[in-house]
Amino acid sequence: MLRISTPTQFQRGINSILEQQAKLGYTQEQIASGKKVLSPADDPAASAQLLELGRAIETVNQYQENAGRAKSRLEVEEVAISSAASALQRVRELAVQGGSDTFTPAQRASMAVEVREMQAHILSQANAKDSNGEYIFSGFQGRVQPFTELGGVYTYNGDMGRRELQISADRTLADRDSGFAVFMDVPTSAGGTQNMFAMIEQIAVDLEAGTAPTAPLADVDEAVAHLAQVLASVGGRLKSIDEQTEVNTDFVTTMEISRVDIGELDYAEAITRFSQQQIALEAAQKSFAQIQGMSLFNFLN
Amino acid sequence: MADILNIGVSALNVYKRALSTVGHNISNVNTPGYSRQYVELGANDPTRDGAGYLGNGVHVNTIGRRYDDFLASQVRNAQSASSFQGTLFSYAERINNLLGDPNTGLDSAMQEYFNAMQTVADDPASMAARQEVMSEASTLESRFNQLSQHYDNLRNSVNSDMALKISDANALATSIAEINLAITASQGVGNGKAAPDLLDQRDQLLRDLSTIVGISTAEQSDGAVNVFIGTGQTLVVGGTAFALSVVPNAADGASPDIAVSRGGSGQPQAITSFVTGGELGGLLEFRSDFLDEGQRRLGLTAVGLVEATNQQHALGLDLQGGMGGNLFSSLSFSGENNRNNTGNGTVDITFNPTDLGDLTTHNYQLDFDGTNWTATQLSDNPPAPVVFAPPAYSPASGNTIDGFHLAFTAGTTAWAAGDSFLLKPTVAAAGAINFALTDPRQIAAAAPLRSTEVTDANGNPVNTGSAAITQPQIATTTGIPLGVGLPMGFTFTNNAGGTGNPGFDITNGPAGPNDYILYDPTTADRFGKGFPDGSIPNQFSLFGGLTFEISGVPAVGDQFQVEDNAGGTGDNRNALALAGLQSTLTLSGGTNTFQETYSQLVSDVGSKTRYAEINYNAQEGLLASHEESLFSIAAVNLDEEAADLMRYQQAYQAAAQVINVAGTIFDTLLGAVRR
Repeated sequence: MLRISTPTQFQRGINSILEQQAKLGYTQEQIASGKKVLSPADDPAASAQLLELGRAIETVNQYQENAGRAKSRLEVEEVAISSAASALQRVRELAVQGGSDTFTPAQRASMAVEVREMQAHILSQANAKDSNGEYIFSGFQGRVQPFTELGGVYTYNGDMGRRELQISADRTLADRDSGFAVFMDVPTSAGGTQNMFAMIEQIAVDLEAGTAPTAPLADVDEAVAHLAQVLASVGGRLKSIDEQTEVNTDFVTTMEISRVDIGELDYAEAITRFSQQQIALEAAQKSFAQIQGMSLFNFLN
Repeated sequence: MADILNIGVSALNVYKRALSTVGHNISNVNTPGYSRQYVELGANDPTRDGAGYLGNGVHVNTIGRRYDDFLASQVRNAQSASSFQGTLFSYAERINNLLGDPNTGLDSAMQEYFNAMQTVADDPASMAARQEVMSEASTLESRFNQLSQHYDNLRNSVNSDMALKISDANALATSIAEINLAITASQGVGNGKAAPDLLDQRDQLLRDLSTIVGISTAEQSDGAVNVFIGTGQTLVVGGTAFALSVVPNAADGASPDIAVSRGGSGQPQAITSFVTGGELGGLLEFRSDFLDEGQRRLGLTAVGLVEATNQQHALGLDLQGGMGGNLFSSLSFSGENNRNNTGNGTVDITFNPTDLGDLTTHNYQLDFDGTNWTATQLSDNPPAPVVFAPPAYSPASGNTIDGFHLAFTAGTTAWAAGDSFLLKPTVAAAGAINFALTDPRQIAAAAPLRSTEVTDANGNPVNTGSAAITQPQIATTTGIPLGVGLPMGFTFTNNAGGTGNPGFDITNGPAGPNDYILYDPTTADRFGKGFPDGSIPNQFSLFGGLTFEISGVPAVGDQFQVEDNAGGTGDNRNALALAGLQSTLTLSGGTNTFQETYSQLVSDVGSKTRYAEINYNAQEGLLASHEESLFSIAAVNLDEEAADLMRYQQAYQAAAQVINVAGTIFDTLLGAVRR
């Protein structure tokens, strides 16, 4: 038989109460915060994982933001180019009409007026700005107006840069095209290149002079096809963004589920645990009081 | 009758003393360290009588003390281990909670900074986006600084705690020495038995001392105990206590030593590395294992972030067209002069952004033998020391010791043989991090060069082939920017460099025999060929270490050019590169990102804290069980005392009755005589 001293008996009782209180306190803190892991020491591996997950989620959310910006800019570009393409299509019709022998020089001159309007429209589209007031077709030089006209001569003032935005860890995507590629470096039917504005200028000048346009219709067709191709490329990128956004969303969802699994409290389990610990604490308190109350001195007189 | 009376009186005296002892036990039931006392009774020597031997009553043999030396020393050892782990754990928790708290931790601040950099990449010309980088970088700076400050505060608190504990230990040692003298004296007058209460008091003092530091004891024949700490450093001998003190560490000012006086006028002897167990041991362990190591890992993250970011930022172009400056102030730290150095030369640590992967979290000792320096990594498994003579390992030589440079500055007496320095490349970095930009326009989001195909004056294409050039990248700022009117031109020819091979002749670029690159569109080159192609070593090293790629089929006379990115406000290439540093494996030999390095710190502190907690609980359990074993022998049980009280009281009453009977017999006798 191990002899139990009075201080030991007292200390044991107190210790078991303190222990139960500490457990209850921890569970209560978990319930209050909703977190399974309260500090790295609770579960070092889980804390590191939670950091990694949080970081991954935040990073992908930033990619989503980037993708959103790229998308809105490409949509601006899409509008500008498809609007320019319609105008160019109208120029083509006027050029076809103007080439017909049935029109008088005066009628051709009035067609020229419309061609000029279309030309101005395409120019304004080529000088379009995004929501930040930056020119979208000037390459890297967002503050430089890409296209200027002086005496019928059209000049490109931008460069050939294309800004890329990061839409996933290993993927960047151009949020614009350079004006050079869209409006200056336009293929001709002969296999060379031409400036779209110069081509329209020639049609306008010919019609104003009352003559049929000298530019080959096939060149106009090439220009129309070129804009359609740029438009397709923009559309392709928009589709890529949608796909990537979806992939990113799925990724974030998966990561969020892991984060909840690892880091968030299972309330049902915690509350059950809380009541069990409450019972244990009450039992410890009760047994302490009863044992302390038992003494041989109670029976002496 | 006199015999009966004597016997009765002897019993009365004895049981009075026994009752006093029970009373003493009861009154000391809650006295720490008290060992219950007991009365050992003995029958008095008998008197020879014709019929045999007649008993002569009872006497007290001794008042003994229930005690067990072995259990007591086990309790002391368990106490040292428990307070060691308890101290370690309670300090560890403070760091653990700090790093785990998302409001004070570093990870979210780093994430926000890199996200802000992405936002600048989205909108390089936007002042709002640039302002976001300014504020997130400032937040990051203050997070680093605050964390480092917390480490510094904890270090101060540990060091001042250490001084307090040492003064407590000295008081205890003095008391033990004094009580040793008293015990020796009491043993002298007590027939070789020391006063039990004095022994208890000394035991309690030893127990208190073992809370502060691990001790061993040796009892002497005169009753005194000698006390040793560490590996046998004497603290108390008989009536003499040797004082502990805190002395500066000659090599490392941030970590003062514990020393013990050697008596007389001798210098105190540093015993830090021998101190084990107890609160002092816990403080020392925390200082080296959590503070030093943690702050160095934090610093490694800081050095990596600062140097890699600055290097990339310098390769960019700001909103006003200037090359990027330092985004964070460049870091450099002084080697710590050993206090015993006789020379007064100094040595400074700087970093090489290209060698960040070589950096470690260790400190280094640098020793001078009069001719050469030896740098030794202070770790458990150090690599071979680096031996060199200045100016090697200086920035100019390009040599680094594990990723850092040394810059030597001779003082008036330069360095003397035997001088040494403690090099701490990383420990102070987190505290020194400082965001250096003052104007959002200074953020170098653009790259300094761009490529184009050559056009006429109005921007009309002149190239007739299908070849294209990618945007160029640079690795250094040498020769960047190229200068107004000096774009580097590349013209396709079938006789590049006069070699008879197709390629591009270069203008305004590498001169003489190096002014061409080979490109044969009839080969796989047309699917993309990277330049420089290595055929001419260091071809573009005077032009920022330019790299680019050409693809497609050029026509003879087609021209590309690489020019300064004037007006390139919409360019985000450098911002993307700066943001990309987030996922670059810059540190630890190219295995870790900055944030991963930080996570390692968090999980490392987490596991160590958890380990300390588990150990603490285990030691507490062990202490309680040893204590219970000792208590089961030594401590008072009130029920037992109550029983003794009854037992001795009954005996006392019976003895009184014996005296009463003796009186009655005497009266009877007197009555008979009177008759």
